[in-house]
Amino acid sequence: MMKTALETADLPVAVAPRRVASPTMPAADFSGGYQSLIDRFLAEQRALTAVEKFSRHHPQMDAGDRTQLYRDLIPIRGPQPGEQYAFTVDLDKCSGCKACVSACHSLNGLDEDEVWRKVGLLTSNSYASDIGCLPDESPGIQQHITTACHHCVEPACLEGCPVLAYDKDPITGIVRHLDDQCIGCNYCVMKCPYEVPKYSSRLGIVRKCDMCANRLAVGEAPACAQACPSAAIKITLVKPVEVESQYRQSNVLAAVRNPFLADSPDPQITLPATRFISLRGLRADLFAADADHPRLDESHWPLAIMLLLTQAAVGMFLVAGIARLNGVTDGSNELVLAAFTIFVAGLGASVAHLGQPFRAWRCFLGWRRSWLSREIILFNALAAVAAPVAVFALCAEFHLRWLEPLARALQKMLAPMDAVVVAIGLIAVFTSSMVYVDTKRPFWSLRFVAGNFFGAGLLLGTAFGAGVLSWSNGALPPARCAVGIALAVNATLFLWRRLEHLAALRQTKSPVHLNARVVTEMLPWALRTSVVLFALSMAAGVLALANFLHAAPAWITITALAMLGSELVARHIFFAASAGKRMPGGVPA
Amino acid sequence: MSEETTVTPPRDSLLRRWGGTFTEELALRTGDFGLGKLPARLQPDAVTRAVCGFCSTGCSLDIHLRNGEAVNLSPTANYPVNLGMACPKGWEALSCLAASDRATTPLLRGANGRPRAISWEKAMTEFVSRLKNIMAAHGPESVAFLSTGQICTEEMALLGALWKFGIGAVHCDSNTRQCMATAHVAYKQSFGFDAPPFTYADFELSDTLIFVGSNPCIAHPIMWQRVMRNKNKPRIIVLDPRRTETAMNATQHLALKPKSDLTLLYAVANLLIHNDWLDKNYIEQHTGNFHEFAAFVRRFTPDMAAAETGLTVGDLYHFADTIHRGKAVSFWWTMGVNQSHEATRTAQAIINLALMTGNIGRPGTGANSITGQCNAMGSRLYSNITSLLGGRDFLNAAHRDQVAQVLGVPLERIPAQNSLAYDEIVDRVCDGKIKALWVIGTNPSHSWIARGGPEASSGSDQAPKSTSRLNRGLDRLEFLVVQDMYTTTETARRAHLLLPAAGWGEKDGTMINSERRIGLVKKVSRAPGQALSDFQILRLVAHYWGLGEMFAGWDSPEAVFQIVKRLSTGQPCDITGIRDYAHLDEAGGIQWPFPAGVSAARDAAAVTENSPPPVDGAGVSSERRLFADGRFFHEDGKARFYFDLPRPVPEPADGEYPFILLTGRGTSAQWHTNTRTGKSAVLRTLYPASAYAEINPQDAARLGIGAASTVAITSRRARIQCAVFLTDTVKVGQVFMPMHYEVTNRLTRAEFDPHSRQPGYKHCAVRVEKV
Repeated sequence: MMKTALETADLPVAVAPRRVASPTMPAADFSGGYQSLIDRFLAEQRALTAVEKFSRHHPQMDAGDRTQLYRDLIPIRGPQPGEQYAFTVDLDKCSGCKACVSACHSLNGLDEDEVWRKVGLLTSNSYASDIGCLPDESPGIQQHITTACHHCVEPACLEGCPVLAYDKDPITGIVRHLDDQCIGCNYCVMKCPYEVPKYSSRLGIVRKCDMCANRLAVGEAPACAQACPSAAIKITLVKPVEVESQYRQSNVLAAVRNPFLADSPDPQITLPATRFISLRGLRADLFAADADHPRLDESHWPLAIMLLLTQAAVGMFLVAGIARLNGVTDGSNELVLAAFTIFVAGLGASVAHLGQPFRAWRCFLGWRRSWLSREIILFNALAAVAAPVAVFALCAEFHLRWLEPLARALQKMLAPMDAVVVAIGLIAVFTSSMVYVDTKRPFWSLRFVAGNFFGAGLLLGTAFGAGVLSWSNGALPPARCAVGIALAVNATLFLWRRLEHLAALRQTKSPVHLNARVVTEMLPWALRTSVVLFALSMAAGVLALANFLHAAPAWITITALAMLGSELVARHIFFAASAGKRMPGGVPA
Repeated sequence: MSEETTVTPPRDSLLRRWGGTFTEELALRTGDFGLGKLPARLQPDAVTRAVCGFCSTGCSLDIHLRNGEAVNLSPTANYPVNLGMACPKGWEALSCLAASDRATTPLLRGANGRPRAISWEKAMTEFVSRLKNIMAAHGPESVAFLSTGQICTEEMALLGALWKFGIGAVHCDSNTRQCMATAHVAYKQSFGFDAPPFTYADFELSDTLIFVGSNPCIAHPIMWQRVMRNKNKPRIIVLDPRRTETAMNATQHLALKPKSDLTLLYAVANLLIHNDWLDKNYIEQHTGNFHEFAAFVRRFTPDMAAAETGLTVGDLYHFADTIHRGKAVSFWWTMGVNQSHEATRTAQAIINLALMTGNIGRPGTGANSITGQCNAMGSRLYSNITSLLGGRDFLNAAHRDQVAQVLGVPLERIPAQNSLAYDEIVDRVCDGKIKALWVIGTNPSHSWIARGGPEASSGSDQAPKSTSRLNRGLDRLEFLVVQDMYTTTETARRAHLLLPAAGWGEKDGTMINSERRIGLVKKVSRAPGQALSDFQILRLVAHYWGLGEMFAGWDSPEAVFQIVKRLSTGQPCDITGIRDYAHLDEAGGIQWPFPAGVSAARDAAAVTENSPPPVDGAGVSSERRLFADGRFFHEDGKARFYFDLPRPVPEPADGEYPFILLTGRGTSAQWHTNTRTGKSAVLRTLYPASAYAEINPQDAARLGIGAASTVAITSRRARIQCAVFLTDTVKVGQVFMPMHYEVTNRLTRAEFDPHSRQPGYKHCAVRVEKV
C-alpha cells in the first residue's frame, strides 16, 4: 500500500531509516555518537506508545455503558409465531449524517470498499411534480433515506438462488446469506430490487446484511442502530401477514403513491419488512436525487455469450430436424455437430460467469422456486438428449466403424430424438427467458425477453444452419431457403426493437423510458453498430439469395456473422440497459 | 431478549454448507473491553481513547489496538461530547492514514521540475539555508507561513514561537482565518476575550434554539445529536437561504435573502426593544453601551427589514416573539455568519440579542459560535499568530513581558507588531514581496477564495501550470515548502520542498474543541516511511536553524503542554489545574478554564471506570459554561454592544450574472478540500464524486437544464463545468455548490470582513448555462 520511496531515495549513509525502534529510546544523544537527531526522531516516530503511556487507563471496561445507548432500539422480546424482526426508520430523525453506513462497515469488518447500507436522498421538484404545490406555498423538501436489506417477507434473492444459499430464519425472519454455499452467480443481485447483495470479486461470492443476527441474539442492537446519533434506526416486530395485506391489497391509491416509500421499487415484488415512518408526513411526490439519470447496469458478457450460443444451438437443432424431415441428408450431420459444439461452448461460457464454479454442482437444489436452477437443469437435460444425436452424426460423418452398432440402434429413433431435443431446447430457452422475466424489471418483460431469445434462436439457427448447409455439397437450395427465413426474422427483429425503443423514448411516463434513454444516451455506439450490421447482413443475404458471383456460401457466411454481431450488440443492450427502479440514491455527479 | 431468538444454524450437510471459511470471515466475537461484539479478525488486545482529528466537535474515539497498533475504532460510549456516536469521518479516521499517496520521504524539486526523494538531513539544510538567504537578502518580512487548525496545540505553539521568537520572521497566518477569525474577533470585542461561552449540554437544555448560517445536521452531526436529545420539545429557528437538513427540522425556517442576516438581526433587536421584551436587569448590570445600540437599531423597522430580507413582517414578529417567550434561548452560528463581508458585526448582532435578553451564562443559553476545525480553538489561543501566546496581544507590552518571562525568551525577540492576515500574505506573494512560503497542513491551491481562471490539467509530478492568481503567485515564489501528509494535494504538487508529515493518530498532543474542552490525540499508528510528526519536523528546523538551545525545553509534546499551561496562567483560559496528559485521559477531556486549585473536573457523565469517585465540593462539572456570574473579561466586567450599518453585498446579481452562488459543506462524509476524506473507500461511497450545483427546478426548466445535464457556471473570475441537482431546497435565483470540489472557489469573489479579514465565501454573482 505505502509507497516505498524510501528505497529509491539517495540517502546518505548516516541516515538509517530502517533501524527498528525500541519503544523505550535512550535519552537524546548529541555527543557525536552514531545516532543523529534525525535517526532518533525517526525511531521515536515508529514507536507506538499509547498502551505504555496510558496503560493504567485501559482496564477492562464496563459493558453497561454501551447497552444503554441502544436499549430502546431493540424489542424487549423476541418474535412470536406470526412475527418477524424488521428495520424501522424514523425519517423525521434521520438527518443524513450516514454514520450508519460506516458503522456497519467497521463493526462488521467488511472489505475496504464494501458497504451494506446506503443513504439516498428524496427531494421535492415542484416543477416536475404532478401533484405538488407551487414553491411559494410549500418550501422545498429534502429527506435522506437510509436503507439496507429489508429482510423481505418474500425475498427475491432467496427465491432466485439456484443453490439455496439464502435462508429466511423461521423465528426471526432475518434473511441470511450462506457465504460458504454461494456460487457467485450474481442472480440474487439481479433479483433484488434494492441492490442489497454485494458481489465481492475477492471472494467470488455475494455478501449481505444479516441485521446483525448474532448481535440481536445476545440483546445487542445492530451496528447501524447502535451508531445512529439520532436513534433513527430501530428493530421492531412486524407481522408478515400485515406486510402482505398492506402491499398486496388492490388499492387505487397505491398506483399513484408507493405505500412503501416514494420513488422506490414496487413493494409487491418482495414484500419488504422495513418500515419508513414519518410523523411530519412524507409527501408522495418526492423524487430520488438520482431519478431521471440513465444508469448502466452490468453487461454480463459471459451470460450474453452463453445465452446467444445456447439459443443459436437450439435454433440449429430445429433447422437440422426440419431439414432431416424434409429428406435433406447432406449437411444435416454437420449441422447437428455444429449445433452441439456451439451448445457446449455456451455452457462453458456460463461457467466463466461464476465466482465459485466448483460449488456449482449444487445448482439443481433451487428448482422448486428458482428459474435459474430450472434453466440449468433443462440445459443439462438438453445436453443429455443431444449427446446421442451428436454421437450419431459423428459416426455418420466420420464413418467411425466401432460406433456403428450404436449408430444403427439410434437410426430408427432419430426423428423422435430430434423432436425431443428441439422440444427440450425450446423449453430451455423459455426457462432462460423466465430467469430474466422473474426479476420483474420492467425492461425485461416477457414479450421483450422471449422476443429476443426466441428471435435470436430462430435468426441464428437459420443463419448458422444456412452457413453450415451451404458449405456442404448439394445443400445449397435448403441453405438459401434458410437464409430467406433468417432475413425475414432479421428484418422483423430489427424493426420491432427499433419501434419499441422509439416508443419508450417518446413516452416519458413509460416504465421503460429511462432504459430507452440509457440506450440513446449511454450506448449510442451500440445503436450505430447495429444499424451497420443490419444493413450488412441484409445486403449480403440478398446477394446470397441471388447467388451473386456464384459465391452463395461466402455471402451466407457474411450474413450469418453480421447477424451474430448484431445479436451480440443487442444482447449487450439487453443487459447494460436493463436497470430497474432502485432505492433512492444520492446526488449523481 | 428471550432464549428462543438465539441463532443456532442447522448442521452442515453435503448439500448445504451453513458455515466454513467464508462464513468465518465475518464472524463476530465479544471481547474484553465492553465494546460489544466486534469482528473476530479485528479483536483488540488493548483499547485507548483519542479525540477525533476532523472537526471541532471533538468526539472521543475508542481506538482498538493490537500489539499497540490501531486496527479499528468505535466512538467512546461515556465521553461527555459524543456519548457513543461519531460521524462517518470519525469512523473512517484510520483508513485515511493508509493511502498510496502518503508522503514518505522529503521531496525536492530538481532542475528538471520533478520532485526527487532526499534525506531529512538534505531537506533541513535546504530549508534553513534557502530561508536564511532570502531573509538576509530581503528582510524578515519576505518569508511567511500558512498553517492549519488541524494540528495539535503543542505543535502550533512550537511553530509560532519558533517562527517569531526564534527565526525572527514576522508574517504568518493559518487556515483558521478561513473559518473562525470572525468568531475570535467578535468575542474578543464583545466579551473582552475570545471565549465561546457554552457547553454542549446547552443544546439539550434550551427551550429555544436559533441557528444562524449553521447546518449542524451535516457539518456537526454529533452536535445535532445533542439537539435531538433535547427533552423540552424546543422551538428551533433556522436562518438560512436554503432549506437545509437543519431547516427541515426547524419550527420556523427563515429563508432570508443571502447576506441579509445583519439587517434581520438588528430588526429583531428593535422589535424586542420596542415591545420591551428585554432583561433590563441584566443589561444594566452586565453590559456597557446598550443605549447607543438601542438608538442605532431604531432605524431597522419591520417594514424596512421585511423588504431587505424577503421575509414578511409576521415572520419577524414571530422570531422576536419566540425569543421573548423562551426561558432558555441559545443562539448558534457557523460559517454562514463567519464567512461574510460583514461577518464580525453579524456575529456580534447575535451576541447582542443574547445579552439584551439575558440569555447568557444560564443553562441552555448563550451566543455560541460552533467552531470548524478540530483545533481551531487551540490555534486561536496558542498559535502565536494573531494573538500572542495564551490569547494575549502583541501590541501590549505587559503581555509581551509575561510571555518573555514564562518562556525565558529575551523580550526583544517578541515582536511588537501584528502579522499580516492571510489575504494580505497572498497579496504579497502575488506581488513578489514575499519570496518564501511555508505551507503546513493546509491546501490553499484548492481552498483559497476567488482563485479564478482555468487551470491546465497537469501530469502527476509536474507542477501544474496555472492562470489563477494565487497559484500564479505560488508558482512565482523563490521557495515554496509544503509540509503535508500527502504528496498529491493541489498545493503539495507545486512545492519546491515537500516535508512528509505524520497525521492524526500518528502522534501525541492535545486539541481544544468548540466547547473549550482539551482532549488528547495519541500515536496509535505508524507513519509511513520517514514521515515525522509536525512537532518533530519543527524541532528539526529549530536544531538546524541553530536554535536548539532556545527550544531545548520543548522536547516532547507533553513538555510543551506544560509550557502551554504556564502561558495560560492568569488568563481567562487558565488551565494550570490540569496535571498532565494522564489527567486529561482520566477525566475524559477538561474544559478551560481550569485554574490550579480546582481539584477535579468530573461528574457522573465524565467519569472513567477506574478513576476515583467524584470529589465533593471542589469538583467541577465536566460540562461547564462561562459567565454564570455575569462577569465578562473587559476591565469593567461588562460586555459591549458592537454594531455598524449593514453594507450592501459587494456583488449583487445583475443581468449578466443573474444568480447568487452560495457555497458550503456538501455531506458529512467530506472534509474541506477532501484531502483526507478522499482516501477512504467507504467515505467515497457517501458523496458525489465530482462537483455539482444545486439549482431550483424552475430556473432549470427556464434554462432548458435537465436532471442529467452538465452546466457551465460563470462568474467574473472563472467559468467552470459541473453536474446539476435540481431541488426546491434552493430558491429561485440561487445556486448552491459544495466547497469540497476544486472548481468551486475559482468562482467565488475575494471579499473580506474588515475586522476579521475572514473571506466571504458565501456570496457572489454567477451565470448558469446548459452545456
